[in-house]
This record gives sequence, C-alpha cells and structure tokens, in this order.
Amino acid sequence: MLNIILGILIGAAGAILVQNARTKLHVKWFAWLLFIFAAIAVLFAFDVLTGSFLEHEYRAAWMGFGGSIVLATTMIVAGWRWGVAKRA
Amino acid sequence: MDGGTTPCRRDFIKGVGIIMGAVGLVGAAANANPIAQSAGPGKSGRATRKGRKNFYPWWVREVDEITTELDPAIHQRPPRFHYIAHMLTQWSKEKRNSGHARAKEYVKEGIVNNIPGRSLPDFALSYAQTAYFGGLGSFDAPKVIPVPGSDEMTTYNMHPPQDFGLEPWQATPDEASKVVQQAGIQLGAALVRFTELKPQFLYGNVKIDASAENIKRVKRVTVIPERFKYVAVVAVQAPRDLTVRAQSMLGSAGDRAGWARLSVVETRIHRFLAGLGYGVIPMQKISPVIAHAVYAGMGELGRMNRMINPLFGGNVRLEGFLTDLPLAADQPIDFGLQEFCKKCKICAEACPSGALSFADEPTWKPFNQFQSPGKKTYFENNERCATYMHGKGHYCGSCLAVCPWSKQDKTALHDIAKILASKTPQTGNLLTKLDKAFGYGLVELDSEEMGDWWDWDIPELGIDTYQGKG
Repeated sequence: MLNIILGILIGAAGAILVQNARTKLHVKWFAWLLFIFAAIAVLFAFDVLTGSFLEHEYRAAWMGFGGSIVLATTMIVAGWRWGVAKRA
Repeated sequence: MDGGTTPCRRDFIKGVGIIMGAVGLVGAAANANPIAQSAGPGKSGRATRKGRKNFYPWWVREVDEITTELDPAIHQRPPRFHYIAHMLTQWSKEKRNSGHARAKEYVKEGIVNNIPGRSLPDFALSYAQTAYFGGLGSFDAPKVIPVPGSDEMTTYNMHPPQDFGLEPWQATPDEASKVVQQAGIQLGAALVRFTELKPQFLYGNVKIDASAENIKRVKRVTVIPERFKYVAVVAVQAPRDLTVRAQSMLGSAGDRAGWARLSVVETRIHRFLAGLGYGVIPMQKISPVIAHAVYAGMGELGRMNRMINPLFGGNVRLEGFLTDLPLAADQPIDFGLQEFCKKCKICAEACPSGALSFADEPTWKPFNQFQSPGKKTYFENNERCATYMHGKGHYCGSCLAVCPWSKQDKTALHDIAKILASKTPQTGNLLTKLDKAFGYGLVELDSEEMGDWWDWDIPELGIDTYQGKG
C-alpha cells in the first residue's frame, strides 16, 4: 500500500512538472535528471525505513531514511534553484 | 534554447535513451548467466547440473575451483577430534570443573538479577531450543549427549522400494539433484546443493573400500563402499533477531534454534534418501561439512574460518549427506569474500575471547594440531573460543552473527551493499565503517535492548522462509 501511495504522489508531482514545463516553466536537462534521482532517493528512503523496521534495525531505519530525504531535498532545491525558470 | 555549450533537450532525451538501452543490455547480460545454463561435465570433469535456475543473484559467480587456496603437498586429513572434543576429553578434571563453576555462577547471576538476555525466561528459551540438538552436555552433565532415539528416527516405519522387491528409484543425476533439492526445501532446508565426495577431507578413521557392500564400523573405523561418492549439503537459517544477541542466553537460543532445526531436517532428508532406496550417512560423522559445503557452492570460507553464504551470511547451520544416489554437482561460487575479509575485520573485533585473526592476509599455518594444514585461511585460536564458552555456560556465535553478509533482505540497502562488496571488495573497510554507523552488529550485552525481543511480533520459528527467494 505504501508503494502505491508513493507511486501516486511521485507520479502526480511528475505530471504537474511536465504539464508546467510545457506551458509555464523552462526546465533545463540537468534539472530533469536531478528530479528523477530525487524521486529514486525518496523511494529508497521509504524502502530503508520500512525494511529496517521489519528487521528491527531502528538506527539503520532512521539513518537511511534521513540521509536519503536530505539527499532528495538537496537535489530538488538545487534543480529548482538553478534548473527551472519561468517562461517569458 | 541555451548557449552553444549546453546540450539541447533533444540531445538530452537522446542521451537518456542511450543510457537506458545500455542499462537494459547490461541487465539482460547479467541475467543470462552462462555458467548457470551450462550442461554436462564442467572443466573439472564432474557432472554439473544443467538447465536449472541459478539460485544466486547475478553478482555471485559460479567458478570451477573453490576460492580458498589449497596446497596438496602439505595437506593432512582433518583430525577426528576438533578442539571442543579435545577440551572434553583431554582437559584435566580441575580445569573443567573450574569452567563449570564459573559458568554456573555467571548463569545464576543473570537469573537472580533478571539481567536482560540472561534472565530465567532467556535461559529457559535457550534450553527449550536445545531439544533435538545432540551435542555437548551443559555444565557437569555427561560430556556428549546424543538426541534420544535419533538413530531409530531414521529407520522407524520406513519402507524403501527393496521391501517390495523393487529397485531403488532411477533418475538421471540432474533429475535426482532437482528432486532432492525440492524435497529438502519442503522438509525445512533453506538451501540444498551438491558436490562429490572429497576423500582428502575425510577424518583419519574413515576408509573407502571398493569391496565393501554397505557402510559399517570396524574397530572404530568407518568403512564406506566406493559407490558412495555423492554429497548433498543442506543449510537452515538461524533466527537472526536472536543470533544478534550473541554472548547472551537469547543469542545461544538463536544458535541452538538453528542447530536443532537442522537436526530435524537432517532426519527427514535421511529418511527421504533412504525412502528412495539409497544408502545415507550424515557427513558430520565422517568429515567436516564446511569443506564440502564450499565445494558445493554454498559459500566461501571467511575470516572466522567458517563458511559465509552470499544470501544468509553466517546465519546458517550446515549438514551434509553422503549417498550412493547419483547426484549432479553444483559449482563453487565466488562473490569476492576473500578480498572483502582482508579489509573487514568486524568479526575479529566482535569476538569476546580474542580468538579470531586480525591478520591482513590468510596463512597456511594452523593454530594447533586440532586444525589440519593444507588450506590458506585465517586459523582461529580455538582454545580461547572454547574456553570462553565453557566459562559462560552458553554458545557464542558472535562472529557469524556480526558478519556484514548476515543481514536479512528486507531493504534494497543490503542489495546495494552486497553488490558493492562483491564487485569492489577493496571497499570492505569503508562498508564495515558504514555497517557500524548504521547500528548493525550485535546487541550490547546486558543492555535493556537485549530484552526487547520479548515484545516483538515474530514470524514462525523466528525466520523468514522467503529470504533469498528474490
């Protein structure tokens, strides 16, 4: 169920981005790349969190989750800051 | 459109297409493991299994020779009595009693003070798990205690085809291996693999006799007919949530859970092979199982001088069967452990008795006469190991539990780490540091966390029977 919810959320975010990229935004190629890697990092974060809880490895769960979310956030912020501009 | 130095979107999409295509090709090539599909005799001339699904992931290579270096010029057959047996038979009564007294005091201290991991329920669990495990007697009980009725269990109510005047089951070695593997897993094994008997690893009191009809004991010598040359090796999982509590009664319970279940599985597989009409003798009676397990591709020999499996790490317990049912052999495997162990010394650090080697390279020189020369490995100080356990009143197994390969497979994190460790084993040092930073490893002795296990939801028998099944 978690995977389905994550898939819907990431898919929706991607669809909004693609739609806006056609009309309102100009997204540079490296920003697309960063957003794709950020999506993978978010999926990985939840995979580590849920998997490590099942393994009763709580420290690994939070370290893996936190590290991946920080990485994803950094990539999204960087991509947005330097790779996305409003169309004139 | 950006300036001339920035690739345009069309170029970017084209680039992505090329990358995805390359990834697809690499993936397809990795899945089409040519060795797993090989048929007929391998380079070594033995019958290898054909057309079977490769059990292991792509980063585990099947190879023709085992990854432990051997030197036939200095090889000696393994001593019948390894150090534990020596301890029980050769130690003075005073030395043994001194250990018993320390162990009793240590156990009593845990029970009286309700120390997590050493409380009475922990102690009771450990002893409950010891049921069906034939082994060393605890404290001042008899030295070696077989499972009551274990011999009868393999023969009672058995009707092999010979009882009906029929021939034993006939099949090609490939078919026989497939059937025995499937039956073994149904009967409780996590892994079943095959090899041929390696006579050089038989104990000194075992003799192969071409004229013998059946397995027999003659004046302390086990005589094996020449037609018995096929070995099935089985592994069962130990419950990892318990084994990471090594050095406590809970950890001991985890280890014993593995061995006891192996004992039950052993009886069942023995009966299966006998039910097909073939002779069987458990390998532990005639040879160290680990040597044959490594040849069967069950794993590689690690720093703790024990076998490590790529999927279960050290979290397996092993038994083998010598039989005259012709079986097709599996090949040994290589997943980079020899290089990895040179850098990773996490087992040596975790060993409470300081028994394991910190050397950067394996050696040819055994630690004492209870280990046989002829292999290049990290020989352990078996005296320290045995003395530690003797004085604590429980089994240890820290080295097997703490090994970075002994993870469960619930998160992709472990897959990534294992691929890195396998393909770039030089990163062993870094991966070991990450392993520690993520909090993997043994649960701290006598800590509150030790007792958390009693509050958890756990699967049947404490193991995930889908581990390693992809």
